Amino acid sequence: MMRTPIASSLLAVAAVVSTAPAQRREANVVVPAVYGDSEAPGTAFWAFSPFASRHQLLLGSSHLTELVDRPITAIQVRRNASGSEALAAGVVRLRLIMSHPSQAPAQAGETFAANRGPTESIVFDGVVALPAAPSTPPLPAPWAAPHSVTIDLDQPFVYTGGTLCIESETMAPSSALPAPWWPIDAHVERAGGSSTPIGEGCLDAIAGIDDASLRLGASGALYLRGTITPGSSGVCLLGLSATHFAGLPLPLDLAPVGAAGCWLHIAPAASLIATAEALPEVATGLANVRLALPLAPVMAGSTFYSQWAWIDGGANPLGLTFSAGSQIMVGGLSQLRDACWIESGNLTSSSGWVMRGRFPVLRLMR
Amino acid sequence: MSSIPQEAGSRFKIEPDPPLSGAALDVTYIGPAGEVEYQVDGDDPVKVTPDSDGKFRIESVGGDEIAFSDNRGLPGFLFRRVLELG
Repeated sequence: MMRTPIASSLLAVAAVVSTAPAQRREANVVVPAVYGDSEAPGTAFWAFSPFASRHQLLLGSSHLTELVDRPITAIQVRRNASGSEALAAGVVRLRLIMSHPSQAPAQAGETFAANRGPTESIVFDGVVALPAAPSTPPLPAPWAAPHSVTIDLDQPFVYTGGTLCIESETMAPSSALPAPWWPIDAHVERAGGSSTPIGEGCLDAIAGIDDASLRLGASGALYLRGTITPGSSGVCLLGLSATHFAGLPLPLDLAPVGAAGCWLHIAPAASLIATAEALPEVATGLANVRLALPLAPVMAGSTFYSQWAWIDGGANPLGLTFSAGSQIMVGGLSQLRDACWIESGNLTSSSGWVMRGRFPVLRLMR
Repeated sequence: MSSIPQEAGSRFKIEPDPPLSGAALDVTYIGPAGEVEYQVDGDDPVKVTPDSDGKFRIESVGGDEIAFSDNRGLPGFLFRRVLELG
């Protein structure tokens, strides 16, 4: 591939970062600590995503006891080793911001601004070099190049106790270079909740739910995908019953109100608005909503229902079409307590997906 | 490794890229979804649960086009035309 001036500049800066002399480290803390010398069961991109993104990692004090009143001078991550593939060198343009939020990770929500501490520090703003890494690395991958990446902070951040928020802004990759692909080691819990379809819909779209997202305190991921027009809108109806609505048995035939062939499968009690986005090259649209599931143990195993109603003025006199319904069972608490990860694949978004039971393995160095 | 750079924005990586008609396709997905989908032409989407490293394999790719989605937006979407050899 021909290297452009922009590409050459980025690689030159990256080379400087990657070959800078390592600072002396007094000690370090691996989060989650259990993975200091063992491979975590999953993988993630975190800040090294091949697309622009914003992330917040909220770490509770239980993970950081050894760091109190000490400066964090670098953050290290290591590659996912069980994937065994060779990784190509790349670069990521990245900004890291740290703060001390007043609330615990358990209280973290989807809105980025609400999760930040009152005083933020930009601790890194530059280009990170991702090294070429050979196939079949040791398991776990060593905390050393080329199996790991160290981000030396421009400004050390003194951790004073409580919750630590590490926010990352990953810039869109340069069009002059291949997008980076450098999966890192991550704690990932597979089990979430479950969902079951109810009945049939009257629109050509699939109502789906990511069962892995159905965890207490997380953002439940509900979507509608199919022949819905990009830019059109609808609602995801939520309810607590799929047997009765307003004294009438469900499903309810909607033909009498102008939607022949459509059925109401659930008793709506709330709704979330969504707008369809286009998916390139295919004649389908995608709409999704984030459902904030409370972090309340009493909710584990609880059941509720969903169904999409989509605005389509030409479909019938009612102007609405309906998906199949879904029965949703919420899963339990994450094994990884006192930590939370919020992510958005849109750098300018003010909110993101709250994930529980999913967290990159980090080594905080002091 | 693929010799064709992946465009920015996808959580999916495929090998070979582009996919070859009738050949196996190794797919890696790095993202939060526990289950992803792929769709060949206008057929019904096929749901797949990647392993803990995000990998799954399609033993024989058919059709003219294939699209992958985690149903969470554009970063979790990849479209490719299938290459017919010979």
